[in-house]
Amino acid sequence: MNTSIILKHIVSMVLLFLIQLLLVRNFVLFGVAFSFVYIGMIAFLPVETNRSVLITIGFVIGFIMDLFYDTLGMHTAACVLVCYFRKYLVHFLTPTGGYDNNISLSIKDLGLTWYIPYLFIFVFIHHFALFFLEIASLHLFFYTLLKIFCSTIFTVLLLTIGEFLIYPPSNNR
Amino acid sequence: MYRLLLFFNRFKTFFYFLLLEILAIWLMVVNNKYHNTAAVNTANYYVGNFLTFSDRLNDYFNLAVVNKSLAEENALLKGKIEQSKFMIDSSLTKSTDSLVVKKFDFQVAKVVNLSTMRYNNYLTINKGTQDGVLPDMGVTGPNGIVGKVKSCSKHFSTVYSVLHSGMYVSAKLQKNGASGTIRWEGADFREASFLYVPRHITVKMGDTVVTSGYSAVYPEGILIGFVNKIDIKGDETFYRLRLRLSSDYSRLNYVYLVKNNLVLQQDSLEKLTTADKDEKKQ
Repeated sequence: MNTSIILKHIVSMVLLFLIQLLLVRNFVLFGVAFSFVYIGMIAFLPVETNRSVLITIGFVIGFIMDLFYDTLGMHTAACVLVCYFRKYLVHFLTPTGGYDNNISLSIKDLGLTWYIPYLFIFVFIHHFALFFLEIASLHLFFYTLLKIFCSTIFTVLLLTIGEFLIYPPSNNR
Repeated sequence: MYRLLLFFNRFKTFFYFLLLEILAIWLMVVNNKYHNTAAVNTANYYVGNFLTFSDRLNDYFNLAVVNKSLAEENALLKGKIEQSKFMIDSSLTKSTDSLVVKKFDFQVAKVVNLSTMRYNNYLTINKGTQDGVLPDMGVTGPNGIVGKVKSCSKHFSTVYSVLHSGMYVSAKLQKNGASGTIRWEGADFREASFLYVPRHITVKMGDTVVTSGYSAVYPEGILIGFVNKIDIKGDETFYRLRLRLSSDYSRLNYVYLVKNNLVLQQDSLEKLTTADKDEKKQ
């Protein structure tokens, strides 16, 4: 991994952080669809990232989000969980021929048919943990499930739009 | 021993994951149990300043709404002044004795962050310990009750909104004083339940519900909401009442902190009676 890739990841992390806290934090569609685009900071880290490092990054990012959401521990727990399961998810969705070296987990490198299922499952695990930790019981069960589904779709949609803005689809693909 | 080490080595990522997960859940428990953890929430100095900045960006868009609500409140207060003048004139004797204590002081604060859509909602305000804010002080808004202070740092405080699953507010019907408890269920931020009103009380749609003043947090008679659904099953003791909350929690901009000057006296007295009860049990 070279310096330019690391730099790219840091810049995108800072961007997602600011977008989450200045803008997306205030968006709630129909009272049920929330968005936590900051999860993209973890989702798009390189495939070969060491798992312990990944979990640590997840812990730190989750903790910072908790500070801003007054939910000490909830985002942290959800992020750590999703970081732990990321390896299995990436493994489960291995494209035919496996992953190339230095591949980035993006539409550009892996195509929409890989990107959407990956992001959807990834975001779903995170949101599932987050919303059920928040309510900490099974009352309002179906309402919480509705919130999880709508929020997952909203987050995936925003992240995909962001991805297309940064890497516009070229015609020669 | 070697095999044990091998075992740990094989599952070291899993153990590391478990450790961090348990740490996170411990943090959650601590946060729910202990109130004054200001360093790790929005009352934190850096977080608070970031949110103030973010709030300033939004301010321009709701200037009109803020102006309107402040003007309405002004009108209301002006009306009250006229009433009180009349009362003083008619009674003629108004004592300015030191025996009369001013029980409640109010202080204005700006809301820099708020949520209404989550299961447990909080506000962050720009007053902290430096301005005399303490945990458990009441918070009211221009249209009624808002919440209770959770924790304070030097310049910021976080506030439990009424829209928090752990908030119970002692309330009463304004017309006949029947008391009960307000609780929010977690879905719609415009409505709450009014529990424990016994069935012999007559309740009508649109009845006004205000704070009871039994707890030391809020003054008596602060508006909470209006009854908009009445339900009672065959043999139940209590009504199932729904309220339309009077405050619009999604549009709060300025709130008032309620300082009870007699809180120490009331609390220590109430502690005495509970201690007395405990002794009798033993």
